[in-house]
Amino acid sequence: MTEEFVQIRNLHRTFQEGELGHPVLQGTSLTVNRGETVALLGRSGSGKSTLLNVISGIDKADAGTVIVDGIDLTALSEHECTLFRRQHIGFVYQFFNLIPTLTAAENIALVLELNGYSPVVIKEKTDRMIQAVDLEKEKDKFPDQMSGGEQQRVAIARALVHSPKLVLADEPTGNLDAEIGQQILKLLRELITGKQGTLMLVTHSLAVARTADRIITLEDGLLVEREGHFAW
Amino acid sequence: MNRHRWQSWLTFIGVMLGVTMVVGVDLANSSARRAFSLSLDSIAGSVTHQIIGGPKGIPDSVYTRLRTELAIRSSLPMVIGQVSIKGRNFTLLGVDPIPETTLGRHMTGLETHGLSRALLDDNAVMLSRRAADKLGLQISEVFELRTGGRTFLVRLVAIFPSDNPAATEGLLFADIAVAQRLLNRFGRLDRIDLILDESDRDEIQAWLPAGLGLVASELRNDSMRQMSEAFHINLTAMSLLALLVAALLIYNTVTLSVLQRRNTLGIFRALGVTRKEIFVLVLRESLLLATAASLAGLVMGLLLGQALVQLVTRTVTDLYFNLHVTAFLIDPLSLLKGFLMGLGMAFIACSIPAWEASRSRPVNVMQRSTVERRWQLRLPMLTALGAVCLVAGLLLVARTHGSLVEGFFALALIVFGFCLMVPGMVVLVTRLLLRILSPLLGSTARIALRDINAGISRTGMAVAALTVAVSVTVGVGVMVSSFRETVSVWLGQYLSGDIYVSTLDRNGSGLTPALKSRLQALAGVASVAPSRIENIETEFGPVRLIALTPTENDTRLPLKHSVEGVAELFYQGKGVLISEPLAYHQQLSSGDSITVLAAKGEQQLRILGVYYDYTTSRGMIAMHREAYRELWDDERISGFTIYKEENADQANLLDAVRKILTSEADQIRVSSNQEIRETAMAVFDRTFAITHVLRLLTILVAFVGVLSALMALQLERTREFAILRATGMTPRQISVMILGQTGLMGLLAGLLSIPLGLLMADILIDVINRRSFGWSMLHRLPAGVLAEAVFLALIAAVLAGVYPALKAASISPAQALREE
Repeated sequence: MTEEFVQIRNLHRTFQEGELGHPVLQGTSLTVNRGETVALLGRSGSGKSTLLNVISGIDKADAGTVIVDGIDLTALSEHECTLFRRQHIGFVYQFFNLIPTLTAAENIALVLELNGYSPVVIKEKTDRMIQAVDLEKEKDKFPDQMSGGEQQRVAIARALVHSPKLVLADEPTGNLDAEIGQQILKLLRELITGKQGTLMLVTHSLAVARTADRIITLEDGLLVEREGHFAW
Repeated sequence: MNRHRWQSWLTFIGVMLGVTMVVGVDLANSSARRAFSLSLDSIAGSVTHQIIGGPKGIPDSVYTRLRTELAIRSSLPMVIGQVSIKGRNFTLLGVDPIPETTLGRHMTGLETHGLSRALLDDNAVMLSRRAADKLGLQISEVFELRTGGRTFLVRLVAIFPSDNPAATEGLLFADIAVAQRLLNRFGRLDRIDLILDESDRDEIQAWLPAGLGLVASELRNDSMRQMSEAFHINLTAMSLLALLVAALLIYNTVTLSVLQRRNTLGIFRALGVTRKEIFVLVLRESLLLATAASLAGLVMGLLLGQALVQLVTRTVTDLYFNLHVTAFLIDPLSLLKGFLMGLGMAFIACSIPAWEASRSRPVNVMQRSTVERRWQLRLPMLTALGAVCLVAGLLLVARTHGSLVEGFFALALIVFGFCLMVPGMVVLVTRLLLRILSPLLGSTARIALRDINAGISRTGMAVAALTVAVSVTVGVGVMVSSFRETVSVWLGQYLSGDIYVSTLDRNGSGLTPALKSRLQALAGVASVAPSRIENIETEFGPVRLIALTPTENDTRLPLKHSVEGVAELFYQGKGVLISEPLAYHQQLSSGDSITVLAAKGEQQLRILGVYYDYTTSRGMIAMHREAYRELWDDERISGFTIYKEENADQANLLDAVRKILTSEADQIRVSSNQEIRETAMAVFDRTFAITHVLRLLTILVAFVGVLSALMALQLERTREFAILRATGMTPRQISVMILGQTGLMGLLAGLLSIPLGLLMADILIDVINRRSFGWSMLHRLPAGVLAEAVFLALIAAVLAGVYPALKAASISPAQALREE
């Protein structure tokens, strides 16, 4: 039985550029089921990343609602939103966004610490995740000592180590070559599927999008679900 | 500049404060120096030589004979004393108005009828226009004048418009006879000013009666000027330190401005803009800002100088010479100097980042990682260079007889060397902390610690600036409290008597052997010791002499090096003791001799030993009163020291002594040893009041430095904070992390400032003070000063961190990540 996990209703978001307003989301609506993988396709600047930011609560919509696992994120305070994010959401970015002054293991453990896990549990979960992403040899390295692929594996581990209900990935392979990109994507899918997680994936690549359960495009601030030919 | 206003403001404030300090102190110093010169010149004028006498002065007849027998017309007799009118202090000059006006020295424009009246009236005095206006006095007005504890009624008979109002505003003129009466100097002159050529000089030298001397006035004035010079050098050194801290601040902000525009500069380079053009571009806009800030610093410096000049002239008056000129004089040279120094410092400080920007390749113009990598690579070299400077400074300090400027240069080398070592030490400490505390540290603490290391170009400089500023607090604080303790201990020895009777009158009138007997007869009095304090002429210029009758176990003259038999020789009048400053400055020691001008002519006195004395840095000679009487034929007494019997009550005895002297209460002062101690300590505290002002300003400059460094860090780490916020860190956690980081930086600065501050204190005590004043001091380590330093650094850093922390916490993660 399908369960509606993410419900986005009539979302609006406009960015001010000088004196002009640039509308990015114009009444966007979407429903994602629990355990589903959804790929979001769209041109540059179409609002894909903005949509992920609003869903995760790091950006605020001008209007509309975002409900994740029954909780209306748009009704939460900034503080509540942050707590929700750290407990239930994992984020993977195109440019990895690792903390440069933390080692691979420390970057992974960070979110567990923020969630108040005990040191024993943190170590156990971190070690398990390091093993899962095959980074045992790199765990004490700092981001600038690792390759792009290794850094993205750390980012995936950090996004999944606290078993979030929802994983948001913003062009996770966009900064990697094709082969490494495929490996990363495979790893991400495996780990999420293993944890019955829901994945929303922003990508430019149709090949990547096709690995998802559903493909949705963002055009003129509106989401369109379709199969077939894509212009980009 | 417009886009990063806060950063421009910080640079502006840093340069402005640095220039303010330099200009303010320099103006106060130059005003005090001018006041010193004017005060000297207004008394000495354009004379070439002076005839001087001993404690009793010069008999009137010498002047008459000089004019009649030697036909020296360019001679000006003078009687000098301090008087008070309406609560203001004036220097009373008793002159002969005829040669004075003939030579056009002071009283230019004096009307003839005023002159004739001045000669007729035995209460007549004259003032310059400015002085009369200040006192609100009109011609013919009768007013009170106090001197030597007595009050006289005098009449203002003439007001003259002086050529140099500033120089004459603190002077009161009277005919010699009037001044002699007011100052109780009947038949005596203090000196005779002369305008001589070489042949006259030799003739007068040969003619002079025994007990009188002829000295070149310029040499004499120079020796007076040199005395306070050390004080001015000390102040200047402190203001330069503030400039050094400001330089660190500028370096920080300019580097930041280059970092912020790395993309623009990179594009410029890619488009073909040359390295030289990039260098000029970065330098030009920094210098534009520095110019505006230096100009603002000049205005602020004027205000600071005005406030400081009162403190400086008061200290100079307390310590060296009665300055009757207190006007604040704006020296254009001080302003120009301050302006150029501000600009020069800004030029040096921003040349480094400008040069680095110009040296980079187009692709990586000053990326943060590029800068930090360079810094990490340079750290060992920087630390080694710092160590070399430090060792060179220490070696220089170790030289026994260097100059004061050399001492300050050594101190600057040590401070600069230590400053260069600070970033290395910060890295070392944070690494150690990370290693030792690793199991206990959470990611947030690790980020905070590692960010200090990762941004060492910025954090290292900020900690260095704060360390230097706080070390000044430690150094000066330890020095002042050591000095205070030394003076306190010395006063305990020096004030060995219980009650002191002294007179305000130079002639000691009222203090007679009969009074001594009356005091001696009081119940509870064990003994009464008379003493005489006089200025005598020596081969080194005028020196204060104390002639006393030592009692058994007398502790008033604590010897530096105890030598057997010295006390006996001193009691027998077979030599003198000299104070430590005199010994140090003139390089005298026991066994040497000192030439003095006694009543019978020049005499060589054997130096028996050197004693601790903190009354004056000009130096003192102590001798047995009997020997003094014999040499100068002077029976007068300046004071009595009363020793009470062991069980006698001091308060009762004080009342009894005061009762005896009731009728002469205006003239004779009776004080307990405790009262004198309190007054002395009050003068001490007043002397060092200026150091508190300068310390505070230095800390303020450092505070701005830390703030700018933290703002820079915050700006550079915007993305990092955004990631942390996106990962789930709350704004409060971000703020706490930043405040923890700045707190740690402050703590490090506080702790590092202790060794530097203690080193500075040692140098201030053993080198600077010694070379400036000739005093040696006890070394005291007040725990309060050290705790205060750590606390001050911590508070300054945490306060400086509040704004950046709030800014970082309010970052919109989505926007920050999008912008990157």
